[in-house]
Amino acid sequence: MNARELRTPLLAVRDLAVHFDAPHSASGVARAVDGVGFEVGEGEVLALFGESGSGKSVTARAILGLVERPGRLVAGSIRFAGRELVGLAESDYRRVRGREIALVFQDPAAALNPVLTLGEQLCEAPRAHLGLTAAAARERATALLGELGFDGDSGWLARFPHQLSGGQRQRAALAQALLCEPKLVLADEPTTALDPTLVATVVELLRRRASERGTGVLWITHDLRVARSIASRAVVLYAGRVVETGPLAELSRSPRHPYTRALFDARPSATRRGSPLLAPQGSAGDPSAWPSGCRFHPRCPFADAACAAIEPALARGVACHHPLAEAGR
Amino acid sequence: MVQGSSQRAFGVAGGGARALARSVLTRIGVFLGVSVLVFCVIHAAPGDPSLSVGVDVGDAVAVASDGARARFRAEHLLDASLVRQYLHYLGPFDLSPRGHPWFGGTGEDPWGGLVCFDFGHEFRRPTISVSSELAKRLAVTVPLTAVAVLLAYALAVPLGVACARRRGSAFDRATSTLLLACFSVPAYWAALLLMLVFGARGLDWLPMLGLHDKDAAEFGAFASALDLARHALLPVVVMTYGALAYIARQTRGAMIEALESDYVRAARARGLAETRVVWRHAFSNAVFPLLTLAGSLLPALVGGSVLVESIFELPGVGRYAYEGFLQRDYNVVMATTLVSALMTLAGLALSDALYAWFDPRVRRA
Repeated sequence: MNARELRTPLLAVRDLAVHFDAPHSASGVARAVDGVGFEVGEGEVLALFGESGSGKSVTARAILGLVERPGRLVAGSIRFAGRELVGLAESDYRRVRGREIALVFQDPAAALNPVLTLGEQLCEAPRAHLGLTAAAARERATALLGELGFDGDSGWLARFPHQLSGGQRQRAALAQALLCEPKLVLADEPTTALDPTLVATVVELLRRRASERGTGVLWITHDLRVARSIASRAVVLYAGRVVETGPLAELSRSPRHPYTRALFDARPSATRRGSPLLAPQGSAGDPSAWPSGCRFHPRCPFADAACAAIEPALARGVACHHPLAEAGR
Repeated sequence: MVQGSSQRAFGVAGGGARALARSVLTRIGVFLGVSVLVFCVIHAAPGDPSLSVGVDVGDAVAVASDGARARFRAEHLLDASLVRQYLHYLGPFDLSPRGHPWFGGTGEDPWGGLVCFDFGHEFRRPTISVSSELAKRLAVTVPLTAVAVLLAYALAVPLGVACARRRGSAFDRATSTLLLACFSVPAYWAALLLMLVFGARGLDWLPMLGLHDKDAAEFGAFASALDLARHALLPVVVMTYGALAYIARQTRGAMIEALESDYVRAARARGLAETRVVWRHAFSNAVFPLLTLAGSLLPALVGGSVLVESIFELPGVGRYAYEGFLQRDYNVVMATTLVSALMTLAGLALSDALYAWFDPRVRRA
């Protein structure tokens, strides 16, 4: 672990800020991601937690340089394998997308184009990025589909997405992302739309990629249970900021930020039967007008005057004036 | 899986033949329905076809005597019941005196009517068969319409795609405003305006009426082609701009939807070239509403040709229909209306076929 940290991390995001023009709000700008930083090492799976609107997906899009208007990346640095991606020319960025960094969608089946054959959709990226011939790309695609549990019949490539089962579509979309053997996989809530048997398949597949080929994985999710089966470290986002970071086991055992605890408690537990679920009340609020001070303070049971006035900095893995373990609560 | 899909394929083959038969029968039914409707409407319209009956003397047509009018009415069964008249129009089912011997007629005119694709003769010029005149008129209208449709698509699709890609930009807003203006301007008004500007009273750049110069017979091949193009330019522009505006709006809408879909985002995230993302991934999905449009556009343009051909004095189907209406020439009105209905049905069949060709879900579902 220490040795790895000394090396250049695969992905290092620092002070990333992505703002959206919001002409109808008072401030005129929605700060969806507002100073986010984390690192993903080779072969590491990092879980990125947060509720809807916390900036998880925008972060993933920013890493790929695909922030669309009215959003724009206003500050920060994204270093991938030692190379700065922010400000990279579009044609160079295109060579990173899909080849070095791949994105797996929340609903991977929706990432398949309904009117193109599987073969065309699978082969186009390897042909564009790796310069493979059509035949070589098809061979490669067939091999990967075989690895993903499609039987050895190459007829799969002639099929259209609607001719596959839900699980097959799922795995085909994964194949689409992995075919160029990317060094980093951004998985944006890849299991939310899946039934439990498929979740296990996807988790197993990405974990094998990480351990056998050193692929880094950014596992964007709000599901602690699934994340624990794959990720070693975690970053918790709230209202566009990192509120807590650390080894996932530690975070889930003894969360120090009140939001982390609320987030992890917002699920049924077999050991605390009968006690009510502690779901965070309300929502994070409007990104064009985040609360002053600590952005969690209006929803925090431990908030005081300092929390409303001063924004806590991220120190020793937590951004909180009254971290839980320290206060002995 | 393989076995399953082959079974499905057989199912499709059987279902396909049945579906085809059903749709053909439905369309024949619709066609006959239209013919009944139009027949009733023109007979209900005020006016008497026999008033315009004449004796064809070269170009001049003399007004007929009372006796001739009575003969004309008898010959065309104009005093018979509407049902009998319709049966007479439809085929030899009317027991008319000159009909098939099976129905007790003399057998002089045994087969005829719609079932034999016979539209009868013009009332005004009884020697001229409506079918042959219609063929001449179609030879004018169909090329004009085809050029207009192709031109509209060729210009509107790239324009709509460009707008969708630059959604919300100054270019998009300006183009959208212009297209809306185009769509709102009535064709007859635009036609008159263009004639005023480019015709003899304005810049005098283009001829205003007809398809050929009066001396066209003496022109060589190139000069006569140029002459035709100069005559056809304004009519084609007038037939095109409205459809162009509509298609461009539809293209823009469909492309915006496609460009925001997950599969397009995914294609971008795989680092594909933007041209491929836009045309192969987005456009191949956005094309479907445009195909539907193609089916309804053809008849709309044929309908619009009534106006355009009347204004520019082009000898096409539209003008033929207009003349037929004015003179209560039932045979001409029926023929032109039914041809236009036929085109509508053909257009719908064409768009269905294109849909099935482009969409694998329809093709194999």
